[in-house]
This record gives sequence, C-alpha cells and structure tokens, in this order.
Amino acid sequence: MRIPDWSNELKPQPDELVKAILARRGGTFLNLDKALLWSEPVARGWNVYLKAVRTELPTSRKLRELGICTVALLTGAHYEYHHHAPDFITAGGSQAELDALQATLKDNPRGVPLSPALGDVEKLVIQYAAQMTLDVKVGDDVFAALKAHFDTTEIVELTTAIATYNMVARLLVALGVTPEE
Amino acid sequence: MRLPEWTPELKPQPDDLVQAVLQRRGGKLLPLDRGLLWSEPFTRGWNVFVKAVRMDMGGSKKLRELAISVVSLLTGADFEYQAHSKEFLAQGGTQAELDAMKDALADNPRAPAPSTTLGAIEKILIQYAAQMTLDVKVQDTVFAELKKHMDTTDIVELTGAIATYNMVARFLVALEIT
Repeated sequence: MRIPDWSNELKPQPDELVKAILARRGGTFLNLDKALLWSEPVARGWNVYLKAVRTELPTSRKLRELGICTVALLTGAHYEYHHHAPDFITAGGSQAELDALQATLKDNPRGVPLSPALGDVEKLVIQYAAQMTLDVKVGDDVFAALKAHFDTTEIVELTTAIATYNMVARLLVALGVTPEE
Repeated sequence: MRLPEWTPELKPQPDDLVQAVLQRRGGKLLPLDRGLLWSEPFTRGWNVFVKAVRMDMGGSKKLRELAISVVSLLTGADFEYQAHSKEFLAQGGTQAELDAMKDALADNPRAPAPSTTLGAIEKILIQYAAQMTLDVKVQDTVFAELKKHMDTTDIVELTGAIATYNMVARFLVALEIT
C-alpha cells in the first residue's frame, strides 16, 4: 500500500466502529479496512453503505457480481476482482462465463459481447457496466435494452452496484491496496 | 431522467427513510433522490455514506469541493458540477480558480500546465483527481507530491471523496438525471 497500514496505535478510532467492521468481516480486517480506518467518517459510512450494496439489494446477485467483475477488470483493480469473481461463482455464475467476460473485455469492451457462453441478459449487463466504467455515458440502445429486461428498481440497483464499484476500484488503485496473502 | 421519477405512489417506501432524506435536503427532494428512492437499501446506505463524505470529514472542505468539481467536469456530470462548484465558492474558493481549473483540464488534465492562479496544493489535487477519474491509476510522482502536503488521514479522505463522486457521476449520467 502507498500509505501505512492502519493500526489503533497509529490512529486511535472508536472501539464500537472497529468492532462493527470486524463483525462485518467475520473477525479479521481486510487490507482495504487498513486504509479506510485512517478516517473515522469514511470507515463508518463505508461500513453501512457497502454492506447495503453488497448484501441487501434484492436484484439478482449473480448479475450484480458480473457487473462488478466487469468494473474490476476494466479498472485494473485486481483486489476487487480477487474478491468478486468467487462471489459471482457462489451466486451461480460459472468459470466459463468469467473466461468469456475476460475475452470480451480484451476484444471490444464497448460492443455487444459475442461469446455463446454468455446469455442475452449477461451480455447486456457487461455492456452497460463497460460503458459506465469507460465512458460514463451509456448508449440509448443499451439503456432501452435494459428497460426491456428489468423493472425500474432493478435498473437502479444494477446501476448503483456498477457505480459503487467504480468508486471502490478508484480508492483501491489510488492507494495501492493489494489482495490479502 | 431515463426512468420515471420516484413518487410514493409508484413505489411506497418506509416513512422514516423518506423523512431522513427530506431532512438531509432541507425539506425538498432533489432529482437525484427521485432516482435513488426506487431502492430502499440503496437509499438508506447512500444517505448515511454520502452525508459522511460531504459533511463529517475533517480537512479542508474547499480542497474537497475543488476535487469533486474536477470529477464532475471530466465525467460530464453537470448536475454535480452545479452543486459542487457553488459549494467550492461558499468555502472560500474563487471563480478565477474555477476558470483556471477548467483551462487546466481542457489543456492536459493528467499534467496541468503551470497556472499562477492556482496554489501548489490546488494543482496537485487537480492532477490527482484527474488521474483517478480518467486513468484510475495514479503516477508515483503525483502520490509522492501529495504526501508532502497532507497527512495520511487527509489523503484517505480526499481519495474517498474523489472516488465517491466518481460513483455519483456515473449514477447521474447513466440515468440522465438533470
């Protein structure tokens, strides 16, 4: 990391905050936490918000994780890919889909993915995530196709997940947070 | 907006949540809220998180608003620029600084040319925000320079703010919230 690993000796933080983060992580800090905890409001807000985005949205977990993996690959956030590719598999995705995703992004990230390993909805989610990540602006054709597949709440939640992990990727890459051993 | 504006009739949400958002906005929902409120967990988390980023951080509010203005210009998030350039001025920034920032971004955002209007900290911050927004990767030289001016907590908070508004910009632009 480009900054020192946080410790309570270097920068004391309220005990309840430290415990809340440990509880969310199952008892061990991630490297990311050792960056966030340098700031109380950042660590506090992040713990509430990312928990909501990651675990409380009802929209398809598999599709959200696919969108997040797209963001992670396009931004070079290895840390993010390292954590979310397994979540995609847990949510019912396959390694063949991840391989097809990687090939598509290398080839033509803004276009329609062609791989037969990906279903129509998966292709659309990848295209949406890629345009949001690379260009910010999203083509009218892509947005119209989203509306044909999803209701409004689902579109908002998918958009949120993609936007949020663009935030996460930027923090990880700028501060040089790398995957845990 | 590319989606219908949220109303309680279209998608009922818990009263405590709607009240919390209204309270944060001083009584009136923004167009942004009419996008967010289609999802309860998302709005609930956002209301806590973005408030923390915008209001609860230490460090210089002026510098933070400058960085957020950089993000909104480079992503084309006009709604964000309107709100945050105003906030920058309210925090003691000047229109001359905003103009110099725009010139720097139009010229070469990754390495702005020297400007007499902008101080050394402002310049390095514009470069940091531009590299995070456009390239994600930040050059070692830029990060080293940042460390000369700020302590670790300031760096994390500034990085958090720039990253957060990259998220906000993407939400606004994808849904065409104006």
